[in-house]
Amino acid sequence: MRVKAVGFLILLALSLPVMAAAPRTVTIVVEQNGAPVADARVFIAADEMDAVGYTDAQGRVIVTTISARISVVAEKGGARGSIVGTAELVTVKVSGDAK
Amino acid sequence: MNARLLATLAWSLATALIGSAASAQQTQVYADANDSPDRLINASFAGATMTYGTEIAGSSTTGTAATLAFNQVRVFKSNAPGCSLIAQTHNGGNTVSLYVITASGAIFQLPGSPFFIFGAGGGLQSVAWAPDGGALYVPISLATPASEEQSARMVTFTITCTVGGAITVTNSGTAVLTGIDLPRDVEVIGTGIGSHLCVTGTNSNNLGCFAIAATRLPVTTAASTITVANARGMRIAPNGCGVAGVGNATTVQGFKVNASGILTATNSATTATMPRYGAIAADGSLAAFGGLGNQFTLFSVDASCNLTLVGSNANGIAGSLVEYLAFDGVNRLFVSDSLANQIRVFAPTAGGIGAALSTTNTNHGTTNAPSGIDVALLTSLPVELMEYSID
Repeated sequence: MRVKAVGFLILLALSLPVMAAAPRTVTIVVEQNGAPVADARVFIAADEMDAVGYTDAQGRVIVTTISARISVVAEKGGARGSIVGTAELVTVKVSGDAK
Repeated sequence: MNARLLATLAWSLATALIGSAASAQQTQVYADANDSPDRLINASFAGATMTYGTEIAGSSTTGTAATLAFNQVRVFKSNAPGCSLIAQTHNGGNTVSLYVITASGAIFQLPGSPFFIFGAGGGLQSVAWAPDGGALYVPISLATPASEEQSARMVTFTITCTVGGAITVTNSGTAVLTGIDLPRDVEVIGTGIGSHLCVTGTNSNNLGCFAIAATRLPVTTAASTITVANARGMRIAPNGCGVAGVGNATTVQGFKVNASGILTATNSATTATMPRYGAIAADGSLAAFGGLGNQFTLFSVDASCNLTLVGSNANGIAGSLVEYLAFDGVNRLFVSDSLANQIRVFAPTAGGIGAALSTTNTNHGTTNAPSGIDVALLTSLPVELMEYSID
């Protein structure tokens, strides 16, 4: 099963039995000129893991992480953008041809 | 001397003197499953054929079908039959599994394994063996509160193994590595117990080498450090040439380290993706790095430890990550195609990566796999000579 087929991607940290750092949920939104970009490939870098997934129709990917800060790279076609964020909502603005 | 004994001796002689080309080239493969339970994938590679064995039970990880948790697998190749060992981190439960490769070649968890490392906080990622296998170093990469994370603690297990006897594992203590924040990867240099423990610090943007005391614990002050921004994976060949990944740029840093633990940066080189974990050939001639994407990059390494880009390779699977790889003793490169349940094998040279010798799905049940990978030539894992008889 490809992640792409999941659509609204939820990257769950399934078992953290002894981690004191509570996992937090971060919503990543990929936009171009203020509009959501669906089916964009999103790479997420956190302290404890890397993740890859695709945005849903609303341009969203959700990730669960114990990291205070994550780095996000989004790309679709020739469009690309990146950001480093600490908030629970991280918006990545891409530029270029997203076809 | 009966026929059975003669046959056994003949088999021994054939193995010892003539050797089997296929056997000499056979490589044992071990990889983390990136799944819960976090099993140990194991396989044998010979010719162009990968044959998977039954997975061995492990512990837990946060890895999922879309998330690659940074769990490593590393093999200690012992000269003594039954004393080769495998270590595997499990970030979910902050444990390390230790497996023995028995004299007959089977793999078993050691009694007491998985070993619990750390309670409050967590985030184990990497491990390194002492050259003689008598110690295993486990950095606590992530922990809370932040003050503990910054302390960069290194847990040292001491291990004894005698042929035909018991294997003992002892937590010998914890050392604070001054100047290292978020210890990401670890390597031991030297011979015997090892002279220095070298560690990358992601948040401290450096690489440092710490002398190893007679107790086998590292000292707390580095013999030297060099700057490596957002330092990630790192490997050092026996000739002292090394390579470290710059995690927030498409760059790797070459370096050399001498017997006194003095590090010297050489040149940097460009990677296809932001580096994560790497491998360097035992002869120091080739290095490879995976990164945040589905590509890996190969470099040649000269006698002065300078890197030259050879090329890069993409696996063509958009939803995968290629972050872990390992060289065997004849410079074949084993690539972990994480989140694609695939392992590929290459025979790269300084002239090019070449086509994959083998591309196989592991026998793991989900696409999560594999994560960290390590390999060993079968000839470096001495096992019991099986008796051969003719009735």
